[in-house]
Amino acid sequence: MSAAEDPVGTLAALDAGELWLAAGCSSGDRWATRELESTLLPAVVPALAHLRLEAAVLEDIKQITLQRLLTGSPNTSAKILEYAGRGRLRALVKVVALRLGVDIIRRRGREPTESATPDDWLVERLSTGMLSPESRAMKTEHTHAFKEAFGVAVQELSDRARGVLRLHVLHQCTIDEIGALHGVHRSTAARWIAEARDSIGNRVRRHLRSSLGLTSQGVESLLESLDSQVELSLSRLLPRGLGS
Amino acid sequence: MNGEHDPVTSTVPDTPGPAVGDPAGDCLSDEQLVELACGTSSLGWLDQAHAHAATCTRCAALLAEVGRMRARESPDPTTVDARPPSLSLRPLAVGDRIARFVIEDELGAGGMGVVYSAYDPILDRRLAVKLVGDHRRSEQARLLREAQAMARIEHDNVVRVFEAGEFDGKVFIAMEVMEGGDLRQWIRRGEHSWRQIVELFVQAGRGLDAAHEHGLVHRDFKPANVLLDGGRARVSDFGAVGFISGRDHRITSDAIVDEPDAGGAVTTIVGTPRYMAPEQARGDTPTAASDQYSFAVSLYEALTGQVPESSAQCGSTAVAGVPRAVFRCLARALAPDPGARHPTMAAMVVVLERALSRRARRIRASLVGGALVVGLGLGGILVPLPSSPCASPEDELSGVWDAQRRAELQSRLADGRQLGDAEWSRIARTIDDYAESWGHIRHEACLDTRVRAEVSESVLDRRMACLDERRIALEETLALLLDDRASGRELELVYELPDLSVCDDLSAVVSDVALPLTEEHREEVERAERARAQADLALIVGGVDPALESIDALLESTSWQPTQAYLLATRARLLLGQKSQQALHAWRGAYEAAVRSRDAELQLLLEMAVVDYLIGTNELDDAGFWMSVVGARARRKQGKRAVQLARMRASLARAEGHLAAARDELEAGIVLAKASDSAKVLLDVLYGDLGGVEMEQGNTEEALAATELAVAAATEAYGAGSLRALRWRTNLVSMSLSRRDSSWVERELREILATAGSLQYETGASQLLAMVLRIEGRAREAYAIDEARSDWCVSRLGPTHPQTVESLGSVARDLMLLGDTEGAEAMLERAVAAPRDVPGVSVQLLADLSYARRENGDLEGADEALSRADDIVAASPESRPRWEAALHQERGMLELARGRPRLAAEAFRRALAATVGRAPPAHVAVARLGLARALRSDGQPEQARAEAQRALAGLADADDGDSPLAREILDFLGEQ
Repeated sequence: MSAAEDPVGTLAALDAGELWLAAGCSSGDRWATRELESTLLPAVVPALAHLRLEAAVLEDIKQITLQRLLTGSPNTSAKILEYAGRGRLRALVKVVALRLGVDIIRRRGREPTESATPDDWLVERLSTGMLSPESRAMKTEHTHAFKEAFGVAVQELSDRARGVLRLHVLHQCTIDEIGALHGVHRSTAARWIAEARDSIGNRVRRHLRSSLGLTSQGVESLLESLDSQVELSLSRLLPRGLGS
Repeated sequence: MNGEHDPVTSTVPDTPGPAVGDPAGDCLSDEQLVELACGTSSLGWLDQAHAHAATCTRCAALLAEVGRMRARESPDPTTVDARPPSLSLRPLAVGDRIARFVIEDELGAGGMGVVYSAYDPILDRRLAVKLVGDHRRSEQARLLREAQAMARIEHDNVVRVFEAGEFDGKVFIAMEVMEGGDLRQWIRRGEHSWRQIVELFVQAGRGLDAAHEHGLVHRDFKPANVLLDGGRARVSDFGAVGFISGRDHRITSDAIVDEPDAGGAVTTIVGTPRYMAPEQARGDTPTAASDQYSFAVSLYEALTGQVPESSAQCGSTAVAGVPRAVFRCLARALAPDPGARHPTMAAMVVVLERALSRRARRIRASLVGGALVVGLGLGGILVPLPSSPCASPEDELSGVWDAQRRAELQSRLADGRQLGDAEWSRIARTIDDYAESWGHIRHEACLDTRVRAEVSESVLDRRMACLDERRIALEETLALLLDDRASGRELELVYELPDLSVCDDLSAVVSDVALPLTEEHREEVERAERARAQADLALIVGGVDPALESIDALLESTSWQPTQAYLLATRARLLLGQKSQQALHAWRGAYEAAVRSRDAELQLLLEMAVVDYLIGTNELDDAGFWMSVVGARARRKQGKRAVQLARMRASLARAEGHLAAARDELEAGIVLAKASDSAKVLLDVLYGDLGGVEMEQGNTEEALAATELAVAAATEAYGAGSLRALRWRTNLVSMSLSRRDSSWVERELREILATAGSLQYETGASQLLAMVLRIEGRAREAYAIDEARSDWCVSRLGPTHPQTVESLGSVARDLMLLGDTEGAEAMLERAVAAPRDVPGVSVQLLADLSYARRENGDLEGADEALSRADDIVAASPESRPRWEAALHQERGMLELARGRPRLAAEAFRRALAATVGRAPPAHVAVARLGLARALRSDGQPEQARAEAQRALAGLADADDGDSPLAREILDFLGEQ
């Protein structure tokens, strides 16, 4: 069967197919809607696989995605029309579903307190993860300075470095995933992570030195432990992450 | 947003609006996310998205999920791990380490190895780490050899190898990262002048020559193995290493590496047929001449686009613009007979350079470098790794403990320390066993997680960390054994390697890394902490036995290993403080426990305690060794620790006779102690030690002042009745002996003894009182005190404790004064029979024994005792003027008794030389008096008189003009 005779069969590959489908769906063509359901919606499942949602919830998400694509809200037209013909309908379906899935996860409290921003979370995670038990005890004496040093260190990173670190540490993204997101080779992503990590270590040391002063008791031990621990702890920490 | 309603429908916002709080910037729209998912976003926009995600959990999560989605679906092979699923057993991941190098990414994989980009945390640089292996042991050994040879080559035209070693049964080579592509890629881009080409090949030729100089044959020279960087060519992938590793997939496309045939014969033919020398193709061992051949083929190909058919054909080749000399040069290098080629690579390079320079004036070389910066070129097919990530157990510790290290250690121990065969084999077997079980546990741990999937990755991480720590411990221990400064004591460390079974014990591994305290453990910790406080108190104010008992009881009931280690350490410190016979044994056990619990702080504490102990027993070599361990471990400590370290350094310096250094350390320590609340409790010790040092330097005023401060500090910190305060008071009395009358001294000492009560024998006051009474001629009273103290020592400390030995010596002196020289001799025989050999005490006792035997008429026996003492002094690595002075003095007396005044005079002169300017005036005077006696016996009355008068003058200068010694000298003068 040729493509011309079976537009639906080649839908995924052709802008024309999308256009046809979008037009059909927006005009209420039930056949087109069914095709959308059977052709594009299944892609939602692998796209959301990482979220580990139950099958029933995934079914819900599919239905709501469909609904959002086709109906729109009082102020906006149906999503599907905005995308028709641009070859991005597949991606849109997944993005809408992802957003739904992410919100469900967040609602289920698999994240830290709502008041914390991702960077607060990152700072917390880095500052506890980077310390040996010995220096953790010492840390209690200097909790404030310590947190602050990490906070400043994280804030001083470039947006990208911070973002990459966040993806890696908090969301457990692999270098392949980070590379894919940024459209760069995995080695570049790995380098970014390494640089961010190094940078944090150096900055924390520097901030601690200046905020606590070299003479302050215990700081040197703390730094000493940091010096030897940062590289290893971080590298051990990074691949694990806290993710959802 | 409307987050309160469930189910799912309510989670759908109408717009992708704001999420948590009020984050900076707009939330990511669906449209933006779609662009992202399709890979059409710009990096700049993504950075903005990251900035927003810093404060928006929802968008942060969406970004991550889109990244995941994209990675999963990306059709772009360069962004996806293209290894087939059979390799789900990943070899090494980002963050893993090869030696100290932290892996950042995998750059490529070849037939027998893989290349990673990595980070060197020590030198803070990025590099490439190639990990190559061969299951054939002989090949593996060759790999390592060649890798290490490469590391020795430092040449501009050779890719720098920073380090090579073994890791996980493979050879690793840490080398510089080259980002300019290779010569083959450069040639393929075309449009290069012959001069540019030859210039780069000349560079490569120089690199090859450098390798040949180091005895390395490349075996696979070709343009793809020449890397370019900023116009510079560098040869890489030398030898077997280069071969079977592959810098990337290229190797497998055109190089051949044969495997042993079915019969097991290993006939390795490696190389790339296109470039291979005929002898190499036949299977002969490639030589430098084979490299020359490959080089010539490569250059010919670069110039003509074809490989040469033969040497003759090459010689007759003519290419417009290229000097004929170039082809003639290549023709010689292409001779089928290796012997007919250029004698060396260097010679060939010279010929090529000459060809270049001949035309240099005519054609100016264009910028070569500018055109060379290209991408890394990592695309293409990645070849699956043949080996499992769970490398075979053997050889995982190679480089740390393998045949080579073993041989090295054996020769070091045998040559340097006359280690017996039995002891060596015990040590070697211990390390062998350790290494073997390390490898086994590591392999099993890997299989548990990666193959059997029974254990989670995070536990594997911990197990590997555990094993890593133990590998490092082994490494460090071996390094210590091989260290030139090793003193012998470190051999014991082999038996104290951290316990391996912890890494095999999942629960232990988990607890070791995360230290999750249960309620029960927490209680144990608390009890142990109390016991420690009690023990510290006991060390200060006495009452060691009850402290020991309570620790022993706690040890019975404690189950948690870190706490046990802590208790053992406390126990050991108590026993060390007691100079107990079991102290070193207990210390060793505690140190082992501390090492096992990876408790560095505890180890430091124990190391410090043993330094103190060893200084006390005058085992200065060992003390110096442990002091250096302590110094390295605690170099940046502050507060109390820093003060303790200063004090220990001072004690060691003092014991070694470096008094000025000791004083400097103590004064520095006092400054530190005053500045730190926690360290103030050490002030009395610092002052007390300072007093002692000042006294030894003859600065009585300063000594008294410092000691008074010590008494005050101890009284303030621990009370007037504390052992510390009483000890400093005793010291004060002993320093005042020459300036106070004896009744004051006696009164003061008796008061100290009364205050001390049961601690009286530990204050030193009874010893001093006996001495004073002895000097006063009240030998009977002195004897009573000394005998009681000696009994106490024997019963409390045991017959061989240094203090017991010393007390026996005191009793002997009393007996001598009482005229019972035979009783004294018997007492001294007992004392010197003690197995513990403390040089200082022994020398003194032997000198006394010599005296007693001399008095008893046993001149030969006296000589024997003196000779033994001489041997001890001679065996001591440092010069000990005080011991020497005492022995020379005794020797002089003996020779006088034997009627050999010349020998006696000589001995007294030596005694004098050892005392003048070093010892108190009385000691000098004694030596002079002896000399005077010898001179008189030798018939030199005038000289004798002069010496005696000088002795008297010396005493008068020291306000000692009417002491018994002065009277004795006057008597001597009167006799004349």
